[in-house]
Amino acid sequence: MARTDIPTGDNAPLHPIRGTLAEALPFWISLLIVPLVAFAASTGGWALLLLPAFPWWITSLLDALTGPDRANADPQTPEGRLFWYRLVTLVWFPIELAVIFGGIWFVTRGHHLAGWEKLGLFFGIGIVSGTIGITYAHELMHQKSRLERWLGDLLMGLVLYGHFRSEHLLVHHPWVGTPRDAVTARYNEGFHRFFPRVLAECPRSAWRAELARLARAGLPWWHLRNPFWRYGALAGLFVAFAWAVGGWEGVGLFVFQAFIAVWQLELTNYVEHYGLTRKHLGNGRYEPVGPHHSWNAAHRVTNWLLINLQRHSDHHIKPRRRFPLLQNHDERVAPQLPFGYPLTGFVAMVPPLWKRMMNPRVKAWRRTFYPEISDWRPYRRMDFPLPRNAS
Amino acid sequence: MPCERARLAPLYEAAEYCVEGPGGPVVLRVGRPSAAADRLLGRMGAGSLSCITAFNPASKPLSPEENRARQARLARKVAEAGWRALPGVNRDPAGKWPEEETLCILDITPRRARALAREFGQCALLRAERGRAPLLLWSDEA
Repeated sequence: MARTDIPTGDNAPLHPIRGTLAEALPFWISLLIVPLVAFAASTGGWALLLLPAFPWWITSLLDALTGPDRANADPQTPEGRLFWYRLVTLVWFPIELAVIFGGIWFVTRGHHLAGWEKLGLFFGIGIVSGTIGITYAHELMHQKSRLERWLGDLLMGLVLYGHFRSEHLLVHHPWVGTPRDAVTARYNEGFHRFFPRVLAECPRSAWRAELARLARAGLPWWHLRNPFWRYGALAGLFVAFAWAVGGWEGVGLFVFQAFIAVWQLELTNYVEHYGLTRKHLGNGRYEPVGPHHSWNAAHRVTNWLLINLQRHSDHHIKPRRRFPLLQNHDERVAPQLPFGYPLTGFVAMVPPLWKRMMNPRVKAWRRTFYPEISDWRPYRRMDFPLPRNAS
Repeated sequence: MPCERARLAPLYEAAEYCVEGPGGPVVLRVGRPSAAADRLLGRMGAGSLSCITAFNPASKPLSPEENRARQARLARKVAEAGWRALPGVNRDPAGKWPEEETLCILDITPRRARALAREFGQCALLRAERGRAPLLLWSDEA
């Protein structure tokens, strides 16, 4: 089969997807976390460490043992053959719902867990809703079908971060690497500065983008087509449910896991585009996003867990492409990380270590892709006009 | 939309289609393969680009204000569709026809490119695919 799609820097032949459960099964690795949650909740103590250990360390260790996966599926694969891949994203909402509210029900009725163990458990559950739930929500919100978009909204409701859909689709994708995109981490910006900045900027930015969209359709802000009604209603519904299941303690645990999940999300956002900027072509015009505007990782097991999110360059080039079909872009055309996203995010929590690891890589990236730019200061400060047409 | 192909084809074929790439401008000409265009496409991770203008529909001159407004509408449409595009300029090497701003959209199908050109009253567009000479696509063809 010859390559007919976009160039990825890799001339390896494309492999066909036959559509069997067996070939999709590695992407179902996320389900292993469910018995771990049950075990951690019933045992407490050291077992609580299993929940962060699974996505952060165990998968990273397995990455090291299994080697990279650079194989590309045929992007023209018919939708029908992706059923077993898609199914894992479709069934996740009820699973996460059961994990969160089952967890609240269990710990607020039992007396076997100390206060710190309850927090430890919901820290772990937050890692699950952040690492798996939000990643799946992200896949779902990019699709056209109403069912998938609704499931994406429901999953984001479980972490009280509904506006992420608006921000991601209306702002991040069109304007990544420009001053309009809050979640493009600036060069030398530590995560501890980035995180509060995006928490403050993104809701406002998402609101502005939705209002502009409504205005283009001639509708006022309070119109029902404003998705912020839905985001608010879902958040209110889930908080009320947490209260009904576990009282105020339940609400506290629910909000805590949501915060941990959002921290995971923004840590991933931080890693994905750190220091990568689109060239300003003058008068608020920017080059289009290319494969070199995202950090990628070809790590096999974390890509199973994160349903190929680490093939991030291709995701930005083809945002609606379903995850099994995302292409690996090699280091000649797209920058690569030394570890998968979870371990890289871990490094990002220690800014001196992060800067020592990433700043030389960003500088090498600049030399490779923009040898003509000698003064990077305006890019570092994002000291350029907002893009034309940006709302 | 009346397009006098016999009259317009030599003019379009002689024109220079200048794409503003991140590494500097790249000039495309109909029928002439371009290594620079291939490099540009490779860098953008794209297989093709289709340059469409909203200026001067059916090659009938409009005022600069009208042209700018039409081009802004095209840019909005392209952005809303989520297509990636590079700005560019179409030039008459003889200098008889004023420059026209263009948008070179990455990886849209010829069918969509033609439909968009028709929507903006254009008779033709330039399409360049990786490894091939750029060619004119007439918008009234299927």
